[in-house]
Amino acid sequence: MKITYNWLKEYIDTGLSPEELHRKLFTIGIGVETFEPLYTGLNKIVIGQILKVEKHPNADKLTVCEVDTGTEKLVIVCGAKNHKAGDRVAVAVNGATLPGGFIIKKVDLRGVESNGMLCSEKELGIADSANGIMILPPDAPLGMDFKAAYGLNDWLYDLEIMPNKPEYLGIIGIARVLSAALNKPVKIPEVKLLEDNMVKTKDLVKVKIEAKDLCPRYAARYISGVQPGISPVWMQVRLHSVGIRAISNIVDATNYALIETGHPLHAFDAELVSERTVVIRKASDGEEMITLDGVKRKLDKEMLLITDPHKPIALAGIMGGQVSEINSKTKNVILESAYFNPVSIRKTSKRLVLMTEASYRFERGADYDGIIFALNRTTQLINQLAGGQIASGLIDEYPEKIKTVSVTTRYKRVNKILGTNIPEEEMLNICRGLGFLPEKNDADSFTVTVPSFRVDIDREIDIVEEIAVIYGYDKIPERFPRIELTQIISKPGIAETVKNSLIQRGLNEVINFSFMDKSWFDKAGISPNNPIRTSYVPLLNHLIENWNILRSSLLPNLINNVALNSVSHGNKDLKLFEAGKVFNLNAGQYSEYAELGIVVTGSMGPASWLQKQNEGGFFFLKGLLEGLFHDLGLSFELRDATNDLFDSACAVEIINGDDKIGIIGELRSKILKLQDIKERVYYAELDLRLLEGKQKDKKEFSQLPKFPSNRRDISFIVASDLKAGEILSYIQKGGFSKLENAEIVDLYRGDSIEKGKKSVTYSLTYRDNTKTLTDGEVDSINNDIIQKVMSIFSATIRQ
Amino acid sequence: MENELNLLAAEIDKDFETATESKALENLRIKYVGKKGAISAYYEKMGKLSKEERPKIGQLLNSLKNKVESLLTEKLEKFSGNTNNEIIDFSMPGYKLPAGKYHLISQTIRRIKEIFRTLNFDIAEGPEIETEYYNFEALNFPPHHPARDMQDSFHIDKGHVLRTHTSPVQVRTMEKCKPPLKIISIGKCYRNDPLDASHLPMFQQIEGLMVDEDINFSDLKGVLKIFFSEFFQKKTNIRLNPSFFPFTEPSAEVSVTCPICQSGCPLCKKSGWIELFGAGMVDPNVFRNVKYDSEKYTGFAFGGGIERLTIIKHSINDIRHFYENDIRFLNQF
Ligand SMILES: [Zn+2]
Repeated sequence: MKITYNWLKEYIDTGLSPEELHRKLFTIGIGVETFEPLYTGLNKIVIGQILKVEKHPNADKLTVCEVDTGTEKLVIVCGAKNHKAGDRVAVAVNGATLPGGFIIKKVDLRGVESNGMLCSEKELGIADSANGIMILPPDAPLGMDFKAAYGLNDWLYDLEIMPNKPEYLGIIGIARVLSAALNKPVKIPEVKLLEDNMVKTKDLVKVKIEAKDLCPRYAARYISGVQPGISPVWMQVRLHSVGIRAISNIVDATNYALIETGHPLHAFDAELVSERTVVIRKASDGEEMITLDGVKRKLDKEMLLITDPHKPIALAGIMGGQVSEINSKTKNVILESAYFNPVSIRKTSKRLVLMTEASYRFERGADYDGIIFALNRTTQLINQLAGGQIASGLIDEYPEKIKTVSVTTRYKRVNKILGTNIPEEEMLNICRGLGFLPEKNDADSFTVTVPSFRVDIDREIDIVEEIAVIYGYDKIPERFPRIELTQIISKPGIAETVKNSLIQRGLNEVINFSFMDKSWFDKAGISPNNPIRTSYVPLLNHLIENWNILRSSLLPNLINNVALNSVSHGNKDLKLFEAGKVFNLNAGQYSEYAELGIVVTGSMGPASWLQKQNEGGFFFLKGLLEGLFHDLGLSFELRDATNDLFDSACAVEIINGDDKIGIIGELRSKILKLQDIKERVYYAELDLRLLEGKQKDKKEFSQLPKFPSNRRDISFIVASDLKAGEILSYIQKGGFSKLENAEIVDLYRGDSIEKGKKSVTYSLTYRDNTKTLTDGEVDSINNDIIQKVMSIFSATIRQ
Repeated sequence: MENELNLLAAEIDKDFETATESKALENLRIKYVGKKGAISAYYEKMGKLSKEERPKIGQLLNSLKNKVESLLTEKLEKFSGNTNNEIIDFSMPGYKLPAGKYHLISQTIRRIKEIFRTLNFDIAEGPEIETEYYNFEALNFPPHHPARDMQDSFHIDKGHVLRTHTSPVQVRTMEKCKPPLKIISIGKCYRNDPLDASHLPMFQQIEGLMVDEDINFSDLKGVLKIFFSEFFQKKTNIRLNPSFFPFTEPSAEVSVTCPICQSGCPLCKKSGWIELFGAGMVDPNVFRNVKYDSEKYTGFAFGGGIERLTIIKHSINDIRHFYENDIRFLNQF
């Protein structure tokens, strides 16, 4: 909704400057998206009179005019054809500026010196098109500044009106609330119609409401003998200032009234309405009509139509029909002012994807009593601009009166909710200012009758808000409430521990959108039975083409992150993780749960003159997981797996207890090639849902050892395909006494080792908590372990 | 004698300057402070001085002795041990330890949680695939009301949407817990918007809710003022303008004094104020939906975008940076 400073001023003298008004609008809940002076590019335009028009001696298409600007007589060459001596015109004199930065200078036009320019509406920037120059009315004040004469020294406010405040979709509504806030009177335009008592509207026009539920009230007037034409300058300027294109005087009048009263009206060419009979009914399924925009609309039985006995003439409350449109030959007008059911208008507008100024207002709720004022006011404007005779009286079909709402409010409740001490009398005054007519009940409360233009008010809390707004939010004090602990609802989730652990280990957290492209599965060669493909959640609607499902895996987005950083920006060493939700649909049930995805590529650590670059790879990723699980107080095992995501040589499952909790491996090159990634990329994924609740938040203290430990390193030579971890696991779980710890410290394949074999070094730590172990005691256990490993795993000792 | 001592001081300086190894230092020690050293000799002569001269000369001798001793320690340190090392080139860069970082949005979220924890607000959560009931109806959005146009939702199926705000968590939490209640909830929300410099189809929101027997609009102002002052780490004033949200009444847009400028900058469009949150008193219809007695209990709720808070705090000009995950961006913070 756009309004201008000058236009608003017609209804209320706020006493505020344009800037002060800007701020004031915010404080009463009307957001201002843009606030700017209008027509700043237009300067030094005066109203002049053409004294003489002569043909240009050297050019057929030009005329040479003598123009009186009130202070001087100028010779101006003009290319238009629509002017004659005696016309009043807008003259851009030397030094004038026009929109677009155009500056008027003395200029020689084919041998005649021209001292200015006669302007068209388009050149002045008050219309989008023009036919010739603008001819002003004969009473335009000669010599006066054009901007001053037609109110162009103005400011535009583009307002953001909240959906509960249709009242503010008309300038009068805004003036009314300003009146309450500023305690200044509203000036509602006086409407006096000169009616033709010989003809009565009710004899000429018939209105039948068949769908009373959708059209509770319908009023109409009849104006005969109008003369369609161009609106006067002031009207064109007004409409153009608020972004409405001037069309013709009759349509302009309804548009002007729309902005003024907030009420959408519609004018029909009466000759195109059969039998001048208006029937308001529901459409039948499949019925069609062509709306004003030239589009053929297919209707259904829930849509409300304005019809004549033979055909639809308007889509009620949304858009007129082409068939009964006002045109240049229109003589008689039926003017409609009605109240339609907001939900019905909204549904129809949504279904037809047709939102108009009218539907926007009707779906928010029109002023059901205000329609009569709007009707009379618009009739007055049409009469003023297009002449004609107004038939006497009006039709007001209002079968069932809409009940006025009354609301009781307790004084104490107002102050309790706001934290204020607003006196009772002030509350009543605020309500009076808003037109609510408060009546005192008893010492505790008052009751207001809600005017028809306030469709948003039917509860005590609504009155509390009105009082707060007019009283001023700024005046409500700041208080800090008491802050004792109330109740503990949340448990710290595992995700925070996980993030913390990985960040401490040098990883960067990323956050991606929750969307992905389902065509990725095919492109990446993900088999149809892979769980990330079988149970994704599709989106019914989406603006962005390739975000069509909710992500079922963190991987596709993480690969995008690698591509952006590595391929596009040349940052080849990446260690990224995301802990975020993935989404599933299983047996009609949606589930969303946190996953952890880690992606690493390139070298492990930063590069510097002190630091050698080491390729990270699988064991870097595994090390991260080991560190992470250490922090969680948990452990995991790995198991061979096959997975579409991974290269078959490096595809592993992560097991915790009985659960498969994740996967780790090297991503298949087919997946990486989709994004032109040439480096090797390793990926691990954990289902955090399965770890939730298992982590040890509280770690128990264990006594620090009092006696020294003994360490023995053993290198076994074993078959190449034997997993080193199998021996380790045997040693750890073998129940060997005094063995405190066992780990793998080296793996070697090389010249000194027989082909098909490898050497694995284990480091074993022995300790007794009650005494210092002798070498002999340690050797005895150690030899036992060696013998057993050798026989079970066909191992030999590397000397 | 005073003159002699001044000459001695000059000699000491010169001797130590030219000493380049620890052996030379030992000689100097003997020369000056050894039993038969020069300074010791003067101490012996002290007895012959007049009563007036004695304190002055004594002081001079003490300072000479201290000077020699400290020069000895200093030089000795310099020569000992390091005799074979080159002098380090401290302009070479240091060892680089790997440093991980929270995503900038996570940093903001952690900061917000920290602030509200100190105010004893608890943290609540809810699903991102939400029912239309929790996302709209329970929050007093009537089925066919234009208020629904304020938020363009992603639809999953007939009854489910991606939540358009974190406010459903208010309802879910109130259904589970009796008042008094003091929670915040932070999480991802979704609107079917284009992706451009000022729109994101996915964004993160913080939501706050406080319900008790005596909670009013001025408490809301107080809590917000404290929060913003803590968040921006400077005294921040707040301004509330009337607004509309179906689930609060009275409702407000919350602006804060621009944390960047004193008198107008591009960030605040030269107004000195920045609009950040929506807020208001919990609408009685919402209380009715969760079976709270709205006569007994009142409450306030507030909410705002995490990205917007972050943009303001770090002067970021394009919202798309957040979820591109360009490490050149992430590593800046
Ligand atoms: Zn600023």
